[in-house]
Amino acid sequence: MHESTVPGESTSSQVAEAAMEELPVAACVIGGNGLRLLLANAAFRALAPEGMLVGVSVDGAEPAPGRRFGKICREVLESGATQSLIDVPSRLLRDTSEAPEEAFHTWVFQRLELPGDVEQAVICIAWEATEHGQTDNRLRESEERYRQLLEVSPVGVAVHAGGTLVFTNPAGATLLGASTPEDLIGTPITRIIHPANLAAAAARIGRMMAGETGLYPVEDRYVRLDGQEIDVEVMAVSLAYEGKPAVQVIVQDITERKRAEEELRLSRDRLAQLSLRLVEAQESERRAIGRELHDQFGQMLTAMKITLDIAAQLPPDAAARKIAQAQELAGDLLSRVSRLSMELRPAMLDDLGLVPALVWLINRFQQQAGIDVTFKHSGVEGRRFAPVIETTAFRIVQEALTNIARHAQAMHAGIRVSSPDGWLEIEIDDNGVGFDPKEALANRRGLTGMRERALLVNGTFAIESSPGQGTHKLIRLPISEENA
Amino acid sequence: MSTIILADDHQILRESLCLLLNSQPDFQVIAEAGDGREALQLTEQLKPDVLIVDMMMPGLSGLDVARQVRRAVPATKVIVLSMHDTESYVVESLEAGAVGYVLKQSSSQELTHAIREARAGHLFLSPSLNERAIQAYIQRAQESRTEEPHDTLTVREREVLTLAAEGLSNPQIAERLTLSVRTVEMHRSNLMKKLGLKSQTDLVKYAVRRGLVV
Repeated sequence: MHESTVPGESTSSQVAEAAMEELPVAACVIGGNGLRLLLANAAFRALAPEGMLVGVSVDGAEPAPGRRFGKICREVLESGATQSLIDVPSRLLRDTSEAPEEAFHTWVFQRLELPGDVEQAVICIAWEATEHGQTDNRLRESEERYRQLLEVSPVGVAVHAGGTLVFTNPAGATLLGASTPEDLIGTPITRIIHPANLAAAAARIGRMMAGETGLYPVEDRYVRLDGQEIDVEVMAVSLAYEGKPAVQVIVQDITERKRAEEELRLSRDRLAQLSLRLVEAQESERRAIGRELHDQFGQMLTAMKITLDIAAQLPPDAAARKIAQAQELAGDLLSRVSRLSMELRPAMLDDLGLVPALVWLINRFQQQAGIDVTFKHSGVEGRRFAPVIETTAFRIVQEALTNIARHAQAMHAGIRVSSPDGWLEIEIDDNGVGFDPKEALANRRGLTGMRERALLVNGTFAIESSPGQGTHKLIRLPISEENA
Repeated sequence: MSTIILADDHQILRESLCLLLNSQPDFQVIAEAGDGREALQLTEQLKPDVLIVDMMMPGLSGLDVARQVRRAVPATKVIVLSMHDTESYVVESLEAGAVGYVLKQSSSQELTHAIREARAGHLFLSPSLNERAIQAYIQRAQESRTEEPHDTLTVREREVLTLAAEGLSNPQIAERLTLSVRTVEMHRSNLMKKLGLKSQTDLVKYAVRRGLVV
């Protein structure tokens, strides 16, 4: 801008101006009315828009610098406080459209006391920090992404230092029953970890902080702020948080999973017990049949054979009496065979269908147990269902009646069978002493047997009872009609 | 002379019965059948006075045969021969149209007696059958039949119906019965379906008509 005359004779102001011109950093002075640009060196001119010339107001330059530039200058003028902006893009001075490439600068704005008519001015210095700035920026972007990830993550993330929580994400807050993460800050981790697991957790954290690896993930139990206990899976790493040693934990609520696993285990146990019981039942049934065949049928057939042998050697008159005896034995045998076969498998279920079999069963029960039974059915008579469904329905009613006779001390029982769409619905109630269903299901084979039968065919079994209140069972079995 | 068709899947039994019946001067076995289908076909073709049919046979059971004979050859009297002395079989046979029920284990005179009774237009049941049990069965079978949809409501459904008719909402009913709202919704929709009701107004009208609410 200014040509120096003879270097050796230059004034100090000229020296200062030349030095400023050559400075490797952008520098300018702004002041006076309308914030005119008083001085600008080469590096600044390269950075500033074309029209931002010495003597022109910062606000009036064409194209104008960024609005923020003028604003900072005014603030510094008014307050006298120095402002430093670190890693600010060059668009502080130029539109992005104009800027050849995004560069980052550190800007310093400082108030200057000047002699003369211009009383106050601002000196602005900017130096490029491209490399450093971009790295910082990338880091900041990555940090921002990380923060957003934590915000939306369904997995709870928390940091604790010195035994208290210093950070959690929203999922972590929800997991622990707090409405916002802030509610948890400062909570001691001894409040969160279940008392029974505290010692183990403390030991683990100690070992992890000491550099041991392979300690996580672990399953643990936490106590939420509302007191509810939850099962969690925890992953932990040590890190520095605000310069202090801390632990970052990633926590997943596995209560549901544990519950499902437990249910699966229980159902496996039940199945194992069931098959054991089935085997036992089969064996004891076979034992009974074997005994009956040997003790009863064998003996009677032998007697019949001997009677007939004798008859063969007797004169016709005497033979007739013996033959009559043999006939009686044969008749007796036939009834026994018929009864035994009915006990093994109620053939009438196959031959006649569910309703006649139930009518027969209920009549026989009422007669034997002396308990009055009301039976109502609708929409099932004359229909045939899959054999397994008919058998299940029959056996459940049979088992229920046996239970009522054995335990209920009931005067009256009611059975209702109907078929609302797609289901065979059986309702059985009694006015007996009732019981606690939970306890009964654990201890009474009859009840478990009924439930298992229903579940085996994808049906449902519900029981309601309490001591003194009678018992109410509702069974629903899916039906696929045969010969519909 | 009574013409007879004999149907039983056990050949030995069939042969001995045939021998027995033919020994009677007024009986003549005109055909034998080894299964239900054959029995029906022969009966339709030969129209005997009496069909003696085993209760349980492969293919068509004795009951099925009796039902179809009643329709196709009503003049033929059907006598069921059975191993089962259980009343359900007896009653179901009579309902199917049989006029006689003879136990296989009873004396052979019973069968000839049953045939003569049938020919005379009488009903015959083996004397060893328990008449009281048969009566009880018939009574129960009749009483248990219901076309009344209300009878098919479960206890819970009845409770829900009454409370709903009193104007309680599902959550209120759930609270009253200590059930979940979903369970109440299920009961409510089931009972509406069973009773053929479409709306809350229908439900209230129904409950008033049945005197469940005033």
